[in-house]
Amino acid sequence: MEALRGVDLQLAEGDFLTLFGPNGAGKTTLIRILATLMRPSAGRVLIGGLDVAECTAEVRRLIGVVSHQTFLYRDLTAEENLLLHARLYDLPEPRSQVRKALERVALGHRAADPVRTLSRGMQQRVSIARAVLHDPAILLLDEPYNGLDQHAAASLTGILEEMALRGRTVLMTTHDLEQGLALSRRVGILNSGRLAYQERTAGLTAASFRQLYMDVVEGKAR
Amino acid sequence: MSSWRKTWALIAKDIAIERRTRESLNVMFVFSVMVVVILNFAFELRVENIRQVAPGALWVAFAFAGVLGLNRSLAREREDGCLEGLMLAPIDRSAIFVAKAAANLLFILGAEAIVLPLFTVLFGVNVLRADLAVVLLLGTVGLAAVGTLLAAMAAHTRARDVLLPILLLPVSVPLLIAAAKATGGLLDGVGLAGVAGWLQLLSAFDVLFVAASYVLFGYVVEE
Amino acid sequence: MIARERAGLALAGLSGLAMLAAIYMALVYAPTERTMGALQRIFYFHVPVAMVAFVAFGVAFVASIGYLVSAEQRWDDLAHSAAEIGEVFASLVLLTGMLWARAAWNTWWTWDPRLTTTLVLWLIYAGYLMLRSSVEDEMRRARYAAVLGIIGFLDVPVVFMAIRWWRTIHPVVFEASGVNLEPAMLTAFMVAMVAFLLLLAALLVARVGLESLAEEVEFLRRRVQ
Repeated sequence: MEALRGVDLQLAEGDFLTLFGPNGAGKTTLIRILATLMRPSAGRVLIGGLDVAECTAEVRRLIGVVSHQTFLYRDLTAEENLLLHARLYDLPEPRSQVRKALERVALGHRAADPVRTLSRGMQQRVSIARAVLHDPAILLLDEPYNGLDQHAAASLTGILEEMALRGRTVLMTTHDLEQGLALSRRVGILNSGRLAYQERTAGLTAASFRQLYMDVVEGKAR
Repeated sequence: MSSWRKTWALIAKDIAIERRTRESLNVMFVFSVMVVVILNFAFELRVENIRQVAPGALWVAFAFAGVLGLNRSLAREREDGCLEGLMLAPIDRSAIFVAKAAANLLFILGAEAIVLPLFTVLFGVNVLRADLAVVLLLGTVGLAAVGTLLAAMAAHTRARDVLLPILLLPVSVPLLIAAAKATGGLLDGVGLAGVAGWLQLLSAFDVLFVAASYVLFGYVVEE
Repeated sequence: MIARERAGLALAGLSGLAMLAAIYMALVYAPTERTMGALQRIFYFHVPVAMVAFVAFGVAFVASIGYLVSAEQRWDDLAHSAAEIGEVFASLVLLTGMLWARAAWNTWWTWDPRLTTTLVLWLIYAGYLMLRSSVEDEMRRARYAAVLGIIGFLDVPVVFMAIRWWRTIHPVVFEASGVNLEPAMLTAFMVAMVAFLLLLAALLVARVGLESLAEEVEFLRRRVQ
């Protein structure tokens, strides 16, 4: 059973694409394939001009991934978790870079606390710090706003805006129509494994897009 | 080589977690003691010479404790998607395997070291001897290697922890036979030369299964 | 009727005939053995079944490698079928072994190296089947099963060596014999071997066909949902 069918997607450098879609549409599968966690049964994935199947290590350096899973070891401190990833990514100055990353998500003061003792929102913030630690050119986010408190959501939005300003490329999947529209330059709708719609955000209002989304998902449009 | 540094960073991570929680060591130690005590009761009621069953009892305790430790170690990687977090990084899957297996080896050996004096006291058989260390090392290497591979699979199934002993113990039969036999021989005083055959079997098992697990681990964790 | 179904039927028919021949050879044609008498005739089933179980696990081994290399579902179907049939045959080996031991030496079990190895193999592949039933995602199930199918079979020589060595040290109370065969006995044995190999082939074809059908049904079911 295929999760994705004939998805033909192109993202230019500096682009910000948000994909919407109902559960089971294939959003997570798409992110996992782009994140090199899953191999596609057919088709090619090129990231930064590199074929993922061949230059996997280089591609991994280019991408950062945020998901509802934090990828953090609960019994290690925030700093220890980030230091581990800094070493895995061969960062030149692990300690100072980790410090800076934690400051960026306003958690420098909790660096020495085990992740277990942090709230869910804080854990997600540390996870975001982990994702951008190696300054990836491309950020992949799978429903990142799920279960976030206001503080963490604001932190995430701040980082995303910063990434957009610095010309980084972002691909995000979300349920939140408003949030997605506000941040991104392009939006798309994934439905039953197919990319059913793609358009620039300029000119779309939340209301019109919501209507469009319902039409696509219920099979009335296209 | 950068790859070795990354592997070491991963091993250090597991050691750091263990040092902080002492989870695996505690569980393995308590369970080993429990097995040893129960076996002592079970055999004392029927066996004339408890020394005869000591080697087997020891390795049964190690095998079951090892299973517990392996389960805990791989379950931890499943929580919060930690293993996937590692796979996102530019690091070979085989390096992840080496790190995981090495850490598991260290912890099982650690538990064994703590159990030995207790075993000496409870079974009345002195197992605190240097030549036994060779058997312990050879036996535990094989157990840790194929155990890490199988535990990685078991952690991702519906049955979870329960599946590991079912998969690991039958496969480890040759290792357990050889280890118990070698231990028995050494306790009987034949010396390492006298158990050379069993040590060779242990080594053969280790070489075969360390290699096989190293190669196959990638297939287990990649989708 | 498609080619595979036709081949399957032909194999089934052939194996049926061969089995009849084997039964005749084993029970009538073969001379009665001196020491154990008529009971010895179980040998003509026990040993071929054991060898064919081994062949089945070997097929599963090759198919497992095939799956990991190609990621094609049909390899997994073959591995699954072969392991399952091998497990059934291994069960038969254990059962006939126990019957033989009971009738000949009044004990249900002997720690004979070959029988014990079969027992360990039985346990390994029981694990294989349990692993399969414990994973829902098809691709993951196939991958995990393939890994275990390889590990399990690699273990076979080591298991056999370890157990045989272990047995030479323990006093062996009885030996499961059958090495010195008269020509007539050898012929009967060969016929039985062929019959069981054909049976394996027939069962494999049928089982793999069943697996394909099951996948089709599953695919259609999901389409409907």
